[in-house]
Amino acid sequence: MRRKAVYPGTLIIVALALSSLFLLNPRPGTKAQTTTNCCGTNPPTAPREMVFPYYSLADGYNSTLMLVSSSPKPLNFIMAIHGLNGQTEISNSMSIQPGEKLAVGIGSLLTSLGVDVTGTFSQGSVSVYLE
Amino acid sequence: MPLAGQMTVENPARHWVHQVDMVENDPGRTDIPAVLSGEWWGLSGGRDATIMVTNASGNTVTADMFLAFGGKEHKLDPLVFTANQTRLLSVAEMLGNLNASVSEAPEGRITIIQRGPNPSLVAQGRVTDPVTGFSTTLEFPDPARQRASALHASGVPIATPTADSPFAGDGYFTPHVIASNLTDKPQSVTITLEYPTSSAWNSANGPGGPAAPLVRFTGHIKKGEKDPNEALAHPPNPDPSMLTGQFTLAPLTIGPDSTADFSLDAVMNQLPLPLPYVSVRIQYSGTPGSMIAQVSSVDENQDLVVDAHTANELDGWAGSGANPWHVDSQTNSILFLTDESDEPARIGLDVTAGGVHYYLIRFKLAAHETRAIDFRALRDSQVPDFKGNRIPAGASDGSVNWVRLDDAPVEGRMMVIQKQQGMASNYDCASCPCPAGFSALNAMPDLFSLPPGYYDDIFDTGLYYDCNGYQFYIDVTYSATFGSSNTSVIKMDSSVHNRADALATGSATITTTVVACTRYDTNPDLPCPCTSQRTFSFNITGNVCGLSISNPTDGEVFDLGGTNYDAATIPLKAASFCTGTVNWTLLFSYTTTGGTTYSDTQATSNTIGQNLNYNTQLGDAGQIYLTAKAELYGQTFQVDRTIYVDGTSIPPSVITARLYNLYSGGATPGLLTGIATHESTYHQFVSRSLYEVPNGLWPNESFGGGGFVGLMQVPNGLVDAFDWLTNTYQGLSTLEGKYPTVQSWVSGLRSQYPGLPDLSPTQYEDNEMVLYAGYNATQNPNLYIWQANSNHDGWTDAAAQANGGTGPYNYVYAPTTASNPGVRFAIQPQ
Repeated sequence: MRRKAVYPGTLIIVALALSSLFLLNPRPGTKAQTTTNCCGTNPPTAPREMVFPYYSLADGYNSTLMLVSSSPKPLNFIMAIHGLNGQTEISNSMSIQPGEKLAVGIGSLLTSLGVDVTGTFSQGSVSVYLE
Repeated sequence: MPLAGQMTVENPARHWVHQVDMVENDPGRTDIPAVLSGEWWGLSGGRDATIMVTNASGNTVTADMFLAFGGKEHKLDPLVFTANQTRLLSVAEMLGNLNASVSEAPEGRITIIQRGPNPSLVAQGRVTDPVTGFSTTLEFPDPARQRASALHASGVPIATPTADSPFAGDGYFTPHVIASNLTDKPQSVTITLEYPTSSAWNSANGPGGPAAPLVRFTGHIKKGEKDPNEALAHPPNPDPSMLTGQFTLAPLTIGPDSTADFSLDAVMNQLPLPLPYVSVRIQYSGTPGSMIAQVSSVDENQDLVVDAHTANELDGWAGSGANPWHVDSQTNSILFLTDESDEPARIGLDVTAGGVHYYLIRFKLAAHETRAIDFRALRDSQVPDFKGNRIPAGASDGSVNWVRLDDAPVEGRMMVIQKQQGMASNYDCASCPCPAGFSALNAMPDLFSLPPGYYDDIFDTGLYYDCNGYQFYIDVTYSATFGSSNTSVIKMDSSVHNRADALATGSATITTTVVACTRYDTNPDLPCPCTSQRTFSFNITGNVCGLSISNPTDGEVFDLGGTNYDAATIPLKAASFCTGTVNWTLLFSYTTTGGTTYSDTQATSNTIGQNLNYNTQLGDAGQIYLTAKAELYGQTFQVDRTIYVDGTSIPPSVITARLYNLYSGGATPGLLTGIATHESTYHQFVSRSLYEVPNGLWPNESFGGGGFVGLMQVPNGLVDAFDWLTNTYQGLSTLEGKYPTVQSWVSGLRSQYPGLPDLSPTQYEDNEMVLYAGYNATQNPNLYIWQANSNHDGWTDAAAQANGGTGPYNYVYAPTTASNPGVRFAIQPQ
């Protein structure tokens, strides 16, 4: 089913999607970091976002997001793909196993979402949200 | 960050590839800097640089833009970014807006300063050349991670790399150091090239070690024989200067707001070329963060650019990584790791492929050393790790998580190079800001058993967790201490501290101890000092093998018994500190009073420590030489015992019943009881001293050396001596065996005297008794009791006639029933 493009100002939908994901997938125990806190006095709070400021599917380019887990537990995440002008498509929930690598082809992901990769989503940026 | 990532953007047709790094942007914390500064370089011959700037927020933001080139910073018109908008900025166009051109500014710097309190702009850049295939990534380093005035780039190809280099055959490379002065004052830059000076640059072990991971030999080694763990017990410990050479260029000056592209072409003739690669240290004179730099190495055909991530030496995040790898016929993956300090640095490494975790546990860098781990070679070596895991032989994709384990600055990157495409991807995603903390100590083996004269090498492994809870292992044997609780049994070797020498049978506890840091201060303003150090201990049980017999005890006497009074039960149990099977041998022997020895050998086996109730075979008794033998860890152990099995008192009623039953078809049912009474006074065994058993019940032997034995006094032998059932049956057989002889004699007489009748059954018994008693009536028939009368028409009792029935004959009183006193049978004297 083709997803409706989300336009600037509607990122609330992203937040709702994230809320849904994390409610449907209960948070794993948050005591995993038993030995060393990540960030001193400024720890992160969930959901965590990773911003990849650019991808391109135009002019013969292809783009692959290489993800590698550093977690001892499986991770669930979703991706928000933004076109150059900020239009947004939300992926389905994905998961990655502990220590594993996951290569996500942006072109094939957008195609699977019913998005025309030659149009407004031929270039843009990607955000990955995880718990 | 428990998830690391990187966007690879490539154009295979043009052989372009560039990377887009991730920036963490959490609600509670963000790595997005307020000021973005990046540099462009190599803009000549129609090349342009594109800067991609993305607004990661849902709000519209405005940024002030500056280009710095030619010693000045030029302000551009502000740019407005709508929510999640990405703008592609052409450097050539921006220069044109300033009435400049790329020929005037082939290298320069762009600075983007976002207005407002919440930074949300993220940038990345690229330079591409459609003619040559040149492409390079332009980075915007995080100012917050610039805590030192020194930068490092790891694993850069230079000139024509050596034949074994990861870059072999890829071309002739010229490294470029592009440095941009962010201040309005000149700075000096000192570039130092660090290069391998030994062949151990590809070691997967400690400094100077072999390329393939070393594997610990598990097992016992005989004292004096070559230790297969020698390479681990005495690893090479070369002086770091023997591994890494350094060449420092004369200081260079970079003017205010200027960017310089230093080609190292001019100094390559001063290096000991060829080299597999170099690492580049860039030290600048300004305050930390006042300069940014990039290192890229360009093939002479301009079609391959190898970008090397340039990290600040006090950027703690650079000391960890979560990187993908790929290996196929045209692609290889190399992990470069550089120790930027003057101290050695241990690295925890977990290679994952197909669900398998493969740990390198002895990876340690020497000071200033750069190591290159070839993932194809690592996979193809098929060397098991300490858990026995191997990287699947067919694996073409996987990941590697690595982290520093000491508070020494380290940086690394994964380079995936597609040789045919002429494209190199650089992966430098980090996962943690500080070293992993020690969590638990384990030792292998944790339980061992070995014979005296052997030794086991004990290896300690530390379990570490990084900030994400991800686990790593490292061999901590050499920093551990070892001690034995019982040095007379196991003593730690004086020359190899982790070697347990087995001295004597027994058990000892080996305690190993390590002091390690469990927690580091992750405050970004501090260089990860250790805040918690702990002593970890682990106990190992060491058993030195021996073999002893728990049961039976030496000299123990067992009686025949059981339902039939013909078997003994002997408990057999061996003890050892080792496990295994014990083989028992039982040599039964019985020596008669005449000195004749009869013997039999039996064997059985059971598990050491378990009891086996051994039931003797029929006739097996007497003196038993018991041997217990076990093969334990290749050594033969044997111990022995001497024990005894003597006879037992068999109730007369049981004997009588047996004898009646045996002779139930005979003319005189109680005949055998009479014979037994006469021959043995009804005793299979009599009390006498034999061996070390005084007053034992031993076989009832005949006078004159024991040629006959037991109830029926049949010819001696083990079975007839100790198995009364066999003895009585043998007596019956002996008696019945006389019948044909008597019958032949009677037939002969009756042929000669047709009027002579046959003997009655009882008369036959009488004459058989003569033979049973051992008289040679076969040769002298006159010895038979029953003789033909003078008329040869009947039989007469010669014994009775000769002596009135009172003697000198021996009589056997054979009852007709068990309660009948019986009739008298005579045995003719000689």
